[in-house]
Amino acid sequence: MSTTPAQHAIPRTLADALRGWDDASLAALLLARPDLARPAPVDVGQLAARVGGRSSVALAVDRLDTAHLTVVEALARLDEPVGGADVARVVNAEPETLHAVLGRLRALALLWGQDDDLRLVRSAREVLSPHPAGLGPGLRTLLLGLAPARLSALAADLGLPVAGDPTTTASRVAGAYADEGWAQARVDEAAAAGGADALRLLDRLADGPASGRLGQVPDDVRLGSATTALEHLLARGLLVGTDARTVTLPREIGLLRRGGHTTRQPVDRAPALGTAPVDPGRVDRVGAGAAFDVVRRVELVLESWGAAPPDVLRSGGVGVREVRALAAAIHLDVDQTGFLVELARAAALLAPGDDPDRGDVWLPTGLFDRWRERPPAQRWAALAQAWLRTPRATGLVGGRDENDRPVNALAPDLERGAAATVRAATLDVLSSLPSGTAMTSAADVVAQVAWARPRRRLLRELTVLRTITEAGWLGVSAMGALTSAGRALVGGADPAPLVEALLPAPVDHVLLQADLTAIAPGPLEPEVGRGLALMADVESRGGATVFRFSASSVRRALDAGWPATQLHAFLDAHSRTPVPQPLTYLIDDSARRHGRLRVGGAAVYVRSDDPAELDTLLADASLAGLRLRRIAPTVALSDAPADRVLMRLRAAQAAPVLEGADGRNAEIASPVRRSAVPSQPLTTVSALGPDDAAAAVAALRAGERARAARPSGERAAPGPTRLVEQLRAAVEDRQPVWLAYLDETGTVSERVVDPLAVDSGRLTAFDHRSARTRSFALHRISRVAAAGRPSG
Amino acid sequence: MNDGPLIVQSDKTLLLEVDHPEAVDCRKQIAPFAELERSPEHVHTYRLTPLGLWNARAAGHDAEQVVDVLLRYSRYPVPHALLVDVADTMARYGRLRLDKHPTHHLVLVGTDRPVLEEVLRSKRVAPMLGDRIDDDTVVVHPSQRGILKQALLKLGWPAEDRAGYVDGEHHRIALTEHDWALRPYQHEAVDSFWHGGSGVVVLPCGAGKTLVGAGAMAQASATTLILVTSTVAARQWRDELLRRTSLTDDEIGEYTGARKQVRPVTIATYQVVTTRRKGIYTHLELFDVRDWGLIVYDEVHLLPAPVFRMTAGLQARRRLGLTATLVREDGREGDVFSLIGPKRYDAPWKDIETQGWIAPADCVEVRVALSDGDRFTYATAEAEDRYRLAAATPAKTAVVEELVERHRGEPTLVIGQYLDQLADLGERLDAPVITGQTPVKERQRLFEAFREGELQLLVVSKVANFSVDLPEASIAIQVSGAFGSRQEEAQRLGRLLRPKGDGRAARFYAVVTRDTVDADFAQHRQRFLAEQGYAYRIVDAGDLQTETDR
Repeated sequence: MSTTPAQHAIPRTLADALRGWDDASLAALLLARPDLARPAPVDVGQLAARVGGRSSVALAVDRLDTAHLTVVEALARLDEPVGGADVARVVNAEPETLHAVLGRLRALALLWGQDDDLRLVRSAREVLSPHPAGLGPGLRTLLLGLAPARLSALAADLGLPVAGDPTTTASRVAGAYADEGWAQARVDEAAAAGGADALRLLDRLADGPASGRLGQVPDDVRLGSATTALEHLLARGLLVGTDARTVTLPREIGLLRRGGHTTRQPVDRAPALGTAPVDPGRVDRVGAGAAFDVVRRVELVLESWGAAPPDVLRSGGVGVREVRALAAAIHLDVDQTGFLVELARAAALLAPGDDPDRGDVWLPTGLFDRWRERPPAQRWAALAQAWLRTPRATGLVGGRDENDRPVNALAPDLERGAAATVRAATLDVLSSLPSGTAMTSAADVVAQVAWARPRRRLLRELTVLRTITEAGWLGVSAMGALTSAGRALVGGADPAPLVEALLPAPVDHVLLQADLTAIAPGPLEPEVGRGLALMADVESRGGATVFRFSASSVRRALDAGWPATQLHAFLDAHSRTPVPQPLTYLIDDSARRHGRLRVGGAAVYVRSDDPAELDTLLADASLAGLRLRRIAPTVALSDAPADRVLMRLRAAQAAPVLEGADGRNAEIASPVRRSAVPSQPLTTVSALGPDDAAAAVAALRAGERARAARPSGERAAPGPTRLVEQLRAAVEDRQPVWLAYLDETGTVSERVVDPLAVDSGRLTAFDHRSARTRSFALHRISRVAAAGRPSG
Repeated sequence: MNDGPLIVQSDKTLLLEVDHPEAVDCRKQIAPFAELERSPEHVHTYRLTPLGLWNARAAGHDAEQVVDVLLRYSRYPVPHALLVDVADTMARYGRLRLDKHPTHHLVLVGTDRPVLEEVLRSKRVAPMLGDRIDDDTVVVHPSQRGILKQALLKLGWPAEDRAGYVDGEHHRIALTEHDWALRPYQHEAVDSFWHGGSGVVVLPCGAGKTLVGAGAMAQASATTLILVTSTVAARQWRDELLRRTSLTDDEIGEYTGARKQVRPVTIATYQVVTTRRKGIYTHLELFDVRDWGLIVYDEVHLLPAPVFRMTAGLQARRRLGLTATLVREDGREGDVFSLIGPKRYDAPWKDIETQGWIAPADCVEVRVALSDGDRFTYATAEAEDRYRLAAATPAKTAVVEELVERHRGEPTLVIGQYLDQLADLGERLDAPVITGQTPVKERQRLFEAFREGELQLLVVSKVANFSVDLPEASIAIQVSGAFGSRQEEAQRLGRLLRPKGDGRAARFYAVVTRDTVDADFAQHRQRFLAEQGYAYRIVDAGDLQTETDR
């Protein structure tokens, strides 16, 4: 098999199989299942234990597409040993597809072993539903669960010889049903006797799940006495009672009703995706428009919240009212505004911070200031990358949660496994379209994603549709196709250069007009922008910005300490057009009226009805430290505290009196505040690069060499991790182990067990001593060793 | 990156850089679907509105063309949401159609069944509809044609009215173009209107809207009802029609407060048709007394609400609306669209001005200061008295005298709001004063004398604002005015914008008291005038002497 890692000898264990792989295959495995490389495994034994670990297998299985998953389910459902031919018989796919799928499953180390004895990693069965492929267990297994007398009666009714032991009888019945013609004859009989209900019942269970609950399963049905459809099915073993109230459809009958395959439809190919031609240049331009808009609006949102931060709700998140107000301010609908807020948070530009008066509030982080200084294309790339990775299901915002409470933007617990994976799968579908082609129906994309990620049912449709919408808002896609920058983003490359050329270039000038507007025909350079924002109000934003001068806006600049001359000079310097006369008038008029009243802060006043008295004080060099300043002939001020002023004046031989109580006010500075950048950005595991994978493989090989060179009799230091690895390997390789176990009473017992699963701190194993399956707490197992196969 | 003249903002405004080499082409392309909002000297602002887009649809443009124009001329990437919105909005027009039906007369036809179902389920619309003939067709009683269109527009599904018009009673009307001719843009306006069936022609004051009306009448050659804003305006129309068309005195009737004549061409005032006695419109029969082939609505932006209701019942007759602006202070632009019709023609002031058809105007704001005593009175006055105190300050009188003196020999109007101020000025300037109390006859006599050049100076109150033609006034001095509404400014400036025989620039002076609410209002005016593209200067009264006359 071309895609199968090179194999040397017949491996007995998964670890042996992996040892036979070449470096490239191992590196490919680590790249495909990056969780295996974190942290880097020390040797192949450890790698094998991780490969079979339940959570890692679950991750890998979740990423399988429908074709692969169907094969895995078939492998899980068929009775062992499973050969390639058995799989080919039940999977509804072309042989080439099957060949490729099996190769890929081997490359993912989900499958190993010989072609006539295919081994699906053990924990894959646990990860799948109890009825993989919606099929029940094989007939033989089901029949062995019946009372021996009932089994014998069943065989007799079917006209089959009854053996002395149930195992043989069960095998005979199962063997008879393995013949499709024979099985079909039984179904026809049951249908003839039991009526249409019999077929309906069979088909309902054949469509899965294979078990159904009833009020009461008749326990001793004979062919002769069967009357109802159910009885006719049970009497023939077409259904088997698995407990007093449950019946199960055997796998053989399920397959028969499905037409011999585990799926009714072929699974070779993904469903079709409707497409239409589109001009790629236009896609890029429209996308760039959206990209520019998003960057601008995120900045606006954070600026506005930096000045007036909203509270963090007690339940986390931000109030609907605040988002609505924000939406009105930035001319967007509430949905998109919520998205921008979430986007800012995903990019670590927004986080809860502490307000001394109000508790937690949402504040821009320190990163925002650095982000803001970067060119627009890079700003966009940072947002888009954060969006790609965020595990938050923003599509839930605005809806209601399980308890029917509204879900607010920025609410906690919106992290969903589906969000990032289904988003990625959706973008993969879009990037599979060649340039110049657009999708035409979101429903097609949903169907494709469903095929590509069949295990991701939860929130799938919502997330796909939301991803398409958000990609459009963000400018990752436009007109139904990914933009060039979007394609780069999805492919893991830096999207910034691709969008840069399309974004408006910064300008350093404005056009001043007689209607008292200033138009910046592109994004302004930050310094010019800040100056204008101070002296004029923004009226319209977009590629260009329209500023309007008014008496109050000019006053704002004057208040900020810009004299009229500086305002004139600024406008002269930055206007492409002559400054219109009405604007000059407006500034001069405002300046003329500005400052007719003056307000200042002072701690203390010194007042005397005799100006000469004050003259003396001001001339006294020993009082210079008080920094007395005169604001009227009879009044002087000082910033020193009243007690000190009194003391110093008395020392200077004056005779002051403390007058009344003071009422001083302190000015509060800096209305803009920042929160700390969250220490852990809200992202999933970062990607593993090819270099990382190669390094991990090299480390593995070194570990193997160390193992080989270890003096015989030395064991690697036993430790909990090592112990779990040994047990996992035993599960995988179906090897019995010897273990020392400390029970609740404190006694150490030694036993030989067949490990079945290692999970959640417990080992499930068949205990040879008590001859039953039981579970052992891992922390009570002190030692483990290989036990060698029991005889028989 | 594209280097186009247009910047498309996400708030649906379009900024057009007028000095750009492609600006003229671009303007032509966007004019059909975008409303010009401001046209100051460097960058013009257009706005995309649903009505604007529907106007474009009615004129035969489709969304693809609009999107294409935006993308072609836009300097920067166009926000995607805006393009989607344009396409969505335009797609809403014409999903429903009013058609003639051989047996049921008038039917509503849906080209999109879900839309038809939606409107059929609307509580407002359902009662206006009759039986459903088939899945896509519903009978409409002819009397419901107008209000149905209004209601559908409100639902956001404007119907295309293709039910046609009655011809009306034939009456020969011809233009007598021996010593004059329709200007090219007037021709275009008449043609666009006629091909569209019904609708509105937007032309700046002074651009000859009356002649567009006359042209349309000649085209229709049918009995015509003309609705105008005032008796004076009615006389003006009558004179103009006598001069420009084959119509004779006997063929034109006046239906005003003073006279009630119904003739093949009848001119009525809005006031008279909206007169009510005991809750009943007493002159409603005017609309039915003849089989009118054309109804002309002058100054459509001032059309009173009851006339909309009456017009709803006249949907089978051709309707022509004339106006300088589609902006209505009451926001009923949608009713104009549904009931009179879509915009059929429009040309911006500046274009017609550059072609030399209207005179450029020069706006000067002269600032006076209150005396210290008046300042104190002003500061302590109640808020509602402040405007009057500031606007009618005696400090203005000297300035007005000086201005009148400077322009002696040129036809000059002094415009104000307060009667005592006007009376005082009249006395000081030794000029006749026209107010609301002046009898119509006297008013007409004075205007006639002014027009003939026998009188050089008139002091007028607000009454002069509406539809009065004073062709030779080249100087206007405003001393006080009602709160600077846009309409009033447009009208006032319109007085001055008539082409002058000698090509002199008209001049508009506003005398304003600094540091008062008067100055605040002046700022609105300044903004509006600058937005319309007029040169605007500010002069201190003290500097008036040294200010060189431009």
